[in-house]
Amino acid sequence: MVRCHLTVIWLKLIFLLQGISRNHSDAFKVFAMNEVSIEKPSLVAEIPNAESVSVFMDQVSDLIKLVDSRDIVELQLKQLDRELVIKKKEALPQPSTSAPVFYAPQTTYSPQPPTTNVPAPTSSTPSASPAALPAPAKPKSSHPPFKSPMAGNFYRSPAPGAPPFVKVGDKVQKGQVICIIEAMKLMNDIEADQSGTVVEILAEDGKPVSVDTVSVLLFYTHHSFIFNS
Amino acid sequence: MLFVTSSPRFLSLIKPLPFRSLQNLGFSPKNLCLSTKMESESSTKLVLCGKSAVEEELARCLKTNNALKLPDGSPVTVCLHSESDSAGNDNDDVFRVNSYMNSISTSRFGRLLVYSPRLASTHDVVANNFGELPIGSVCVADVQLKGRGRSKNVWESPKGCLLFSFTIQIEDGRVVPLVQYVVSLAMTEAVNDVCRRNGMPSLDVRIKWPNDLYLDGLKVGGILCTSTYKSKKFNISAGIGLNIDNQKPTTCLNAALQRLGYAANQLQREDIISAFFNKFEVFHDIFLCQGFQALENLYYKTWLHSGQRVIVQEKNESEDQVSENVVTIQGLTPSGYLLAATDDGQICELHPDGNRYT
Repeated sequence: MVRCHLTVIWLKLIFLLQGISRNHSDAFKVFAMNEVSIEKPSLVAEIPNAESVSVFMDQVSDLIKLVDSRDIVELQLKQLDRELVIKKKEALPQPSTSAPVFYAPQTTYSPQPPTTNVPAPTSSTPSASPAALPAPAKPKSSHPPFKSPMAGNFYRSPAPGAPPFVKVGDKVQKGQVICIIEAMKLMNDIEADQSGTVVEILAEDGKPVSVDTVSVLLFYTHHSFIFNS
Repeated sequence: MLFVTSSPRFLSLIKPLPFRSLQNLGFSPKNLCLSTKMESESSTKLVLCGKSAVEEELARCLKTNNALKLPDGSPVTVCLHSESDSAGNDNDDVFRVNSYMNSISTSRFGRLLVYSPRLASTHDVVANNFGELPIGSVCVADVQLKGRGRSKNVWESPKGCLLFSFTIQIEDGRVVPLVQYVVSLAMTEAVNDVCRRNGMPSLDVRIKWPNDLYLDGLKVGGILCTSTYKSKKFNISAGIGLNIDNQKPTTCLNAALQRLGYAANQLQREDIISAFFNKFEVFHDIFLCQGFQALENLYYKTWLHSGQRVIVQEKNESEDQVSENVVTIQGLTPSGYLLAATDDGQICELHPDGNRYT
């Protein structure tokens, strides 16, 4: 009985991934290489009902979208005796290792704040705020953020397949175009408002960014370069 | 006019090669000689004209300092309209600069004119010289060789099209996407205005969201806006192509008037573009002071979509499932997307996608 349920969930999860990949073709490769599996049915003490399965799947779906939309390479959640790990291709040392996903129907998952630039998984407790997506802004005063000046779709390169305007580690001069934001077919070349080094790119290519929230932080630049100009 | 090729929703930032002819012609000495000659002939002629002494002085500075450049670095020949031979030229194919200047009554827009009988793209001229030209400057061409459509689309630009681009500067990023609606509206109102003043019936030019102009179900024009965010300001280049006298490949305004029994060539480019700037300046000020809401009713009267039923395709979790929902268009959302409602009253926001819509 338990196994039967899990099979259903597993299939759903696969569909989910495919669905996401379809919608964001640029994410396809990443997702196709993702490994998500569900193991250890023995951990499940109670047989889940349909509703809780659905709720759980929605939560997992949100988490996967979250991981997909950010520069998060690996997300690991531990709650009570259950654990959920979502790894992107980049996080997998060998293609053979699969990341276990432990299923827990009664558990409410809250995404943890993204840990950036950390290749190895860090175990951390889920954040206290439910539902809300974590703010990607990591308060790092030495890295002033570049905020999106407008809402629209964020593009990293001037044309599909073309090299991106900037990469992490690039030194950017004030006035250099760093991305395109498109809204209602109106293309906006966005120039850097100060010189600096790209520490991290938080927005995902082809995905919407907003002007209102802190989630629009695109770039961190080093102070040391700001004063060079 | 009109579009060729490809749907990628990106601007091409690949600059055209300055010496294309050289590339195409190979390396034989004879051909090389020919290509050198072609280069010297390919210099783009730009004629500058100002509404008042202020703009005339600016034009003189631009000429003296050789300030105007083309994106591909190809040669430019700049002259002042007041000093050129073509002053007073009444040839139908040539933009009548004096007629235009006498008809505009604006205080900022359209007052410095860069006219060219033939150039690659008016959009490139204003976008590439944004910092040199005062805000509101306009570039008009009789013929474009590489007219810009959206993305990598080419805007065919033969004689008979009104082709121009001008500059706008805006600080609030939230209203930037709405600028093209204001531009569209100013153009439809300009056409109405010129028809009315000439005692002709109003042509029913409509806006196809987000940036096309339609007449009798056919595309007659389009608006292309691009912008660069620089020093906390959006430098917007707005380009318009409108088939006034060129029927290919769709229709044109004068053909519609002829069908209504009027003589040929009723509408002149100079009348339409001057009416456009007179309208645009008013709309622009309303837009910045009161927001797009103040223009919304007029916009809804002019666009094609009120109450329109459209099918929205939505890809579901499973790749095999594409659900189709019929929705009714209600208007625009505050950020400028389409506002639609499903039959059971759910409100949704529709985004443009690629070249097609609906």
